[in-house]
Amino acid sequence: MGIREIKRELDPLTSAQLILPVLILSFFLLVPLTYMVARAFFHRGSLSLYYFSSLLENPDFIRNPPNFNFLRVSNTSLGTFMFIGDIGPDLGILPNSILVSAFVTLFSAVLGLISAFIIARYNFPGKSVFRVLLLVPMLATPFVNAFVMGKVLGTNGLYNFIFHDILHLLPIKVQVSGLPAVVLIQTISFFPIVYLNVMSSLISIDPSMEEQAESLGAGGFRIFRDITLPLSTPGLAAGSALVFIISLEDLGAPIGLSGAFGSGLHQRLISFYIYNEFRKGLGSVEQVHASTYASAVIMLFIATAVFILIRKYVTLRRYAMMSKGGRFNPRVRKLGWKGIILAYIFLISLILTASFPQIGTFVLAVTDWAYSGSPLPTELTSKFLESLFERPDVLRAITNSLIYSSAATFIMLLAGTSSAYVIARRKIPGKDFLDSLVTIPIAVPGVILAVGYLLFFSFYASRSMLDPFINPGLLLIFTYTARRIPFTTRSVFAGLQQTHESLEEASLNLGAGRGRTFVSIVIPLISQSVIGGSLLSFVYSMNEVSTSITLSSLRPEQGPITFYMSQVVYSSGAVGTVSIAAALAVLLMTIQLIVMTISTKILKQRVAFLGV
Amino acid sequence: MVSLLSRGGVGKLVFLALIAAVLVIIAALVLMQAKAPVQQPQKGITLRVITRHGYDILDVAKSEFLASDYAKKYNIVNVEWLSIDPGEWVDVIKASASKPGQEIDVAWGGGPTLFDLLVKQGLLRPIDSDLVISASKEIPDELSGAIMKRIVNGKLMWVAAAISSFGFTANTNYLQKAGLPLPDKWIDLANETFAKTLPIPSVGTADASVSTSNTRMFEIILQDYGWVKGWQILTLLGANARIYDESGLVRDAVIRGDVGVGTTIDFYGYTAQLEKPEFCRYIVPSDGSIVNGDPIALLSTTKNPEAAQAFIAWVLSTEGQKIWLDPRINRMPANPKVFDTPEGKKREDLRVAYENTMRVLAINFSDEVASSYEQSLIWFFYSTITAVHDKLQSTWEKLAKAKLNGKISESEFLRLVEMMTDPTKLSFKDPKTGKVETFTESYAKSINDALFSDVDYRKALIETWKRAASARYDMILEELKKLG
Repeated sequence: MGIREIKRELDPLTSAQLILPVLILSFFLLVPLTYMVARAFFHRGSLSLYYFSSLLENPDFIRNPPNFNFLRVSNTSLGTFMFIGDIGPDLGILPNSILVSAFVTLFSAVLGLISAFIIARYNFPGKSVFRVLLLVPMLATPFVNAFVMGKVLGTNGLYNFIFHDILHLLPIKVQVSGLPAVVLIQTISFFPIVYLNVMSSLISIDPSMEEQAESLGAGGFRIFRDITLPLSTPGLAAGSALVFIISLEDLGAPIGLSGAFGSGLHQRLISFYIYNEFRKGLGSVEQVHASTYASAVIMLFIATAVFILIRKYVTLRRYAMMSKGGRFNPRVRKLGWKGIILAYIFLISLILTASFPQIGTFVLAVTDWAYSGSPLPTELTSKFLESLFERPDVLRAITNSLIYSSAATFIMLLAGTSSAYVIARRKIPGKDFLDSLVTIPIAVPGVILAVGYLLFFSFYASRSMLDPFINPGLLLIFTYTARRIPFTTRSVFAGLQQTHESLEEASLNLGAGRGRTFVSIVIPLISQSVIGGSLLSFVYSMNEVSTSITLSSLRPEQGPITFYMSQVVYSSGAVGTVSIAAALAVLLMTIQLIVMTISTKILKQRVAFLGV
Repeated sequence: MVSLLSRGGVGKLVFLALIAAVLVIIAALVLMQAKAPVQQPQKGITLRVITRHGYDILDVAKSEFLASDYAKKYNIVNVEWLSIDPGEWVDVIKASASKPGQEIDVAWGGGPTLFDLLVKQGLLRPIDSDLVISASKEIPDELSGAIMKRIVNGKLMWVAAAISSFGFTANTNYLQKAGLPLPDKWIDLANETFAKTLPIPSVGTADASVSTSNTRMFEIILQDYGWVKGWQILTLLGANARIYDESGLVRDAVIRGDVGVGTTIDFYGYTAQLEKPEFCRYIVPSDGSIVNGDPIALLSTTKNPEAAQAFIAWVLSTEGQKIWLDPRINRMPANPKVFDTPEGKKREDLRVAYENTMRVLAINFSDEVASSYEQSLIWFFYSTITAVHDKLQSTWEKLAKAKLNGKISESEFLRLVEMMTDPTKLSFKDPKTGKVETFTESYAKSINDALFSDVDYRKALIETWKRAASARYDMILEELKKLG
């Protein structure tokens, strides 16, 4: 590619679209991250791969021989139990992480695809309610997770109480812990990511494609297999890639399970390993061993490799449809009563199972469940919710969260849409690098970035606006942007894959400039994807924990709601603090739902999208 | 957004303008090395306190202190709390030093280990105000060997502001259901009876590397029973237990009924007992406990040493000590005179608990001995108990059940327990010297400093210990097989 061609590609709009994301991600992701993980490449003062090789030789990291033994039945003085996952499988920290993420991706893809298909293609009473409820499982309940998991999955928890003691469906009690439990928890919290992305794809499919297949004699399943599924691949791929990466970095499941069951195989994951190494160091980051950073580099490498593989597969074919943007009515059929029952059974059991952390959090907040001494709560109480109104800082924390997340979402909207467009449409060198750069941030371990921000900006931006001692809130906007932008970019990229470029060429031919084409043709055509992606970015910004805690502790009045929750949970010895944290989590979830509902309601007039 | 953008002609301009605006904002922020926004010239002093105390304690402390004569006399108008993770204390205190107006004045709460680290790093400034010196006179220098004041070269570095003892919180419902006795001593938690419910552990504890309170309990056990027997108790206690990442989680698990008994700091136990007397019980072990002083100290970064020391003096005074008596907090004051105040008289239960605690401080505890091998204890516990917990627990389950079911004799059992737990019989190669060593008390003392200062050495030793312990547990399984 010659200089002249590059020059032609880099018109002012493209340059702006390129500079914005690169600048933000370099300054607020690459630099603080490199500042930390550079330590992985130096051993005793010289450049070396020592820490990487020592990790790979470590039997904890790769276990030889692996242990696949995942089930046992045991008699105890508390009864007979089936244990799933407590003594295996265990292949070592590295393969465990890959395996868990692969399974989570697979299960999330199946659940997300089925639920998106049901919602997008069928009409049945209560559909709009299910649309909202399917998003509930991704609302985070940080700090309360562990307690709820213990109450539900524990040996004398609600699960065994209902299915063994009451319904007698289980012949013996069951305890799920270890890696199978991680797969379970992550699947139920991440499948909505696939659901949202596939929804955007399904709605964009030109109905005439399926109609043609139908008129040529294809039946329902054949149409799904040969037409619908392949055409929704961009959304499925975007969702799956995001799930794989977020599962790799996730701490919610392993920390929650550690709180519920104590130490165990659910901790044998790279994400937890990194987090734990930081926790064990007392006083200073100098106490953290350099191999911790090496394992973070390995994790980023795996995430990048898997992402590139998925993208290679997707770009083998073309999904673009000329008729996109046409005023067609999507193929939505009315369900018969048998179909309605089946859809209800599937959706209700999925939602009930997947929302157990959110339902449990709600119950903790409004009852004495935390200290009832039995699997069920014994009385209703409003004292925890009321306690929120006694404190002005709750309102401030919520406002902070909303400001930071909205500002970050706005920047992500601009930077994310821009980068996705450049990647999908422009032919410039280094495009693959840019593509990885806007996708991998969710795999960056939060704790490393948090400490990186703390050290880097308090030293190199000392006494400026970006000094975390002065303005942690401003830094949080940028860290949310950098960490959550992949949700926007991947979603928008999938939308662009479904849109034929000749629609833009027509506009250019008719004399519109690139800018006008982008704004008047491209953006309206991919609006569903933009909204879906922004929604995910927003929700996951509100849920952010690690940098929020570390940076806000320097200026508590600038702390978002997750920081406030951490303060409540780690407070004194009072019984029931977990219920106050649960009340805060309920508040957080309610606000997220309200924002999601309002934003989609407003936008619904323009695009018949989620229509929450 | 969408409708705005798609309104045709102006769209391009709007979009470019937005991008430009964001770029300008970022560039401005990046390039602006402007000084911190000038602090409003305040009429009084704002104190900044780095702390590990919870927000409920801090809320009470702030309003009470600002209303006190101490605050008025020294013109202190505000207190800012910085709840920093213990892993970042040193970094944050050092960073604050170079930022005018952001310097931290006082450190409060977090346990003696953390404060001794601050002493070592030179981050504490000796306390010299007469106000504090006279207030601290009401606090004993030590309680049964545990020091309440750290004095270095004749200078007072930190003072205990609250004290806490250690014991266990029991869930009597659980114990009854599982057919387990109510434990009374530390050694009871290591008994094979508690292995009856395995693979469901009935004991809860927290790892030494993440819980300074549990580290203290393990130090008590080691001094109470001696090195070899002490490690036997620690190992079997760990084998009987679920090991949590935080002391608070142990308390949660007891209240939830996931375990029958958990090792906790006293105020966790008292609060649980106060709120749920039906099934929660706090037990001070009859084979001995000690108290820990939870320190307060003046930081070398302070620019307001007089005002900062006025705050410290208030915390130590009978007025300030009242915050511990709040029914949500239930902590033991460092200054027992607070029980003579009207507020103190209302907490008769806490005074009784305080006196009980003082009575059982039977063991002859040496703070010096404890800190001489603290790092070794933390990392040996982590390597041989927590990090290989699945193997330890399943081995112990088989061994204990063989004993309980009469499959092996008492003497065989004791022989295997010794083989499994005696630290002086665990041989390994020291990664630094290459010499074959065992984990004796003197070896533990000899490597203690290096374990803290040399992170590479620590990591290598942890790996070595993990492998040695794991091999040892495998050997016990082999022996058990041989015995049929």
